[in-house]
Amino acid sequence: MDKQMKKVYLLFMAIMLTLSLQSCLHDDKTTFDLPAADRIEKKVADYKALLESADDGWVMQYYTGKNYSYGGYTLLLKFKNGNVTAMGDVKDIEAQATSGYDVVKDLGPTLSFNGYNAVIHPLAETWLGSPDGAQGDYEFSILRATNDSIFLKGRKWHNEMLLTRLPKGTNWEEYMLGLATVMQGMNVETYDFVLGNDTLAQGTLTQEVRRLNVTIGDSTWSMPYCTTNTGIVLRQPLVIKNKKYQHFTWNEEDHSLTQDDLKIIQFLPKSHKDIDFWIGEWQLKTSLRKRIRLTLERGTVANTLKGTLNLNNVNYEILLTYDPATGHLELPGQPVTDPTYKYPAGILLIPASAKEGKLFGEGTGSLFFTWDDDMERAKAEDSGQITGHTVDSFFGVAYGEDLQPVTDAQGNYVYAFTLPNIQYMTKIN
Amino acid sequence: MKKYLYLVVTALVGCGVLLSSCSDDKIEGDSIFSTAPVHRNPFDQWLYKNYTMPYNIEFQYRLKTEETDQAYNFVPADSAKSVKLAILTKYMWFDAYAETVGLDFVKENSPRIIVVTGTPGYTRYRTEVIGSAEGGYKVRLGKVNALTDEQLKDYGSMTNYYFHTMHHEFMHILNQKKPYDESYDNISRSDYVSGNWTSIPDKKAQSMGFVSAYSMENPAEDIAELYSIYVTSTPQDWATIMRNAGNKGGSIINRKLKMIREYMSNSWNVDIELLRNAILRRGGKIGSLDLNTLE
Repeated sequence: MDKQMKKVYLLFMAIMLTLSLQSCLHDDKTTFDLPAADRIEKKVADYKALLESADDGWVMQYYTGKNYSYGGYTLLLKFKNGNVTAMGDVKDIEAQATSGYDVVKDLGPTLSFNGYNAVIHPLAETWLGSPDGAQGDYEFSILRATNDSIFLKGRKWHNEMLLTRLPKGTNWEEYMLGLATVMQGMNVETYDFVLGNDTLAQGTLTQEVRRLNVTIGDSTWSMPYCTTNTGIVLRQPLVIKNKKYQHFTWNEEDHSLTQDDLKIIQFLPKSHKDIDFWIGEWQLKTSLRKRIRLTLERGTVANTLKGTLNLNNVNYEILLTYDPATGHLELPGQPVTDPTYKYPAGILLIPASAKEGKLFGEGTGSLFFTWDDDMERAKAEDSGQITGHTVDSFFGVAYGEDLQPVTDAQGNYVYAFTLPNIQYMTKIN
Repeated sequence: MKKYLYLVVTALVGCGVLLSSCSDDKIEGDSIFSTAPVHRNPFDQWLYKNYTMPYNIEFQYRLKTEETDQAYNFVPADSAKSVKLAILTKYMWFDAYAETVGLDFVKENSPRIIVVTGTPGYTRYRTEVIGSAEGGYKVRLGKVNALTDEQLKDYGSMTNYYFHTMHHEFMHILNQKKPYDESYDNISRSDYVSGNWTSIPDKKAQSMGFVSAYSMENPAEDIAELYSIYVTSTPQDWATIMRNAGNKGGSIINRKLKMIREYMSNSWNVDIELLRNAILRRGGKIGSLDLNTLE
């Protein structure tokens, strides 16, 4: 063997020896008892059993909008034999609906409301012109769970939500009744935030969008909240002087929300008036030199007032709406019956601007009547519905048998009555 | 010679060591695939009997987001309405082909999955996409929650909503499996406008030898449109299209139709007149179809 060959031989042996050093140790311990597929299968079965174990169901704090940008909703959910029964404050709070659901293994265990449920799915529904709708989810990754809480995360919009086991014996109808009471009480949006005896700030809790906005000291909060049977739950706690406040109880007596020493008290400006305040006889001030009387009584629909407008000894019936959040009245354009039968197709009350010499359509434009405590009268203001224009008047356009506006010899509209330059109204009794 | 012997022996020993194995590797535990019985509700059982068994088609009425186009947000279809649409789709589509062409043809060529959604796909441009097809194996039928009992009994609106889409997508599938005669593409070669078809009224398209404006997108859409509209149109509706087409447009449409007739007959052994008769006969009966009972 020459020198060169010997080198090759040794190298070859070295490689062979290294390769042969494999072992047959059989104590490769696994971290988990079961294979991955079995584990997820078991998780799915466990979560399903947990969901169905709550006899009176669960309450879900549901948040819409990417990054919690829209409102919070409350759903009551009961899971039984692959079906889910739901109630909630999404649309009709008295409605109950049952549909199929499943816990599936997706990218981890997923709770899927995979059959249409008229209570739940409106939150995820889309419509023409709104391809994302309210940005709600119906498939949720189950992040973790305890016996009484299940932590979820929406698959599409990624908001985290919580299912909490309802205490045994919870009556759903009573729960929703409590929730409706809180909602009804919270119909005014301005609140004072009071800690002990200190008023920290004024903020808003706006029912229409189910969100809280407040700046306290250097911190600004803007977040959704969910209404419960006893109050509200915020998406995240307010942190004031290192203390967290998140679960508030509604107090119907003084219209406040409290947690410990923090009280959020409804603020009613002097201009905010109860609906009953408006009932009675009023005199309308226009640029006409005649007495125009408006008698208001409660309408058949909630938050509406039936008005009788007395003009030239004729009584015209009109409809006004009451806004509980601001306590003011709104007069919109509307069709009015002609009690004299002079105009068979009736009268169309149309918002107008005397200043601009313009008539607007029936659909948009209205006047607000807001109580002015200093002047002791309700001032009339444009509602700002028509951008760039100001409504200050109403004109009753007469309609003829042909369902067209009646015109005079010059081709101008004929008015059954006019209310030019409405300024305010005063209470007669 | 001896030095080579060393090498050979060493190599053999080495290989032997490498080839040794830990012989007690056994397959352990149970299969990860569950063998637990599947729980089927009455609708699932009906689907198994009427879709899975005869046609090998999955009718998905429980919505899974990953089965739908991620460009849109859908909600699940109402289960009661899904039942009605499932009965109707089988009757109007799969059974019509099975009757005229045969079961095997449907099994081999129809889409494998039908997905139903409660809402249509809404776009950012204020339009809606009611039905769509993906890659020839999946068809989505949308807006199911808005279906009324009147609509379900009306052949015209059901064709507009769903049946037209089904035949249209089906033609694409068939074309992908067996190409049609390329000379079809030459008949209207200079008149295809790709995306610009949206600004052309159907009537105008018809006068140019297209059965609808969408046909003007490209030859593949043209053939799918002509086929689907022809086999679903009543004689009156077809006469209206041909009247709009006039002499020039009409003769182009007829030339194309002749090629489709030959393609379907030669490549697929399908007589489209027979198929159309079956579809229209069935269409005339949908008003009296019992959509509330799962048999």
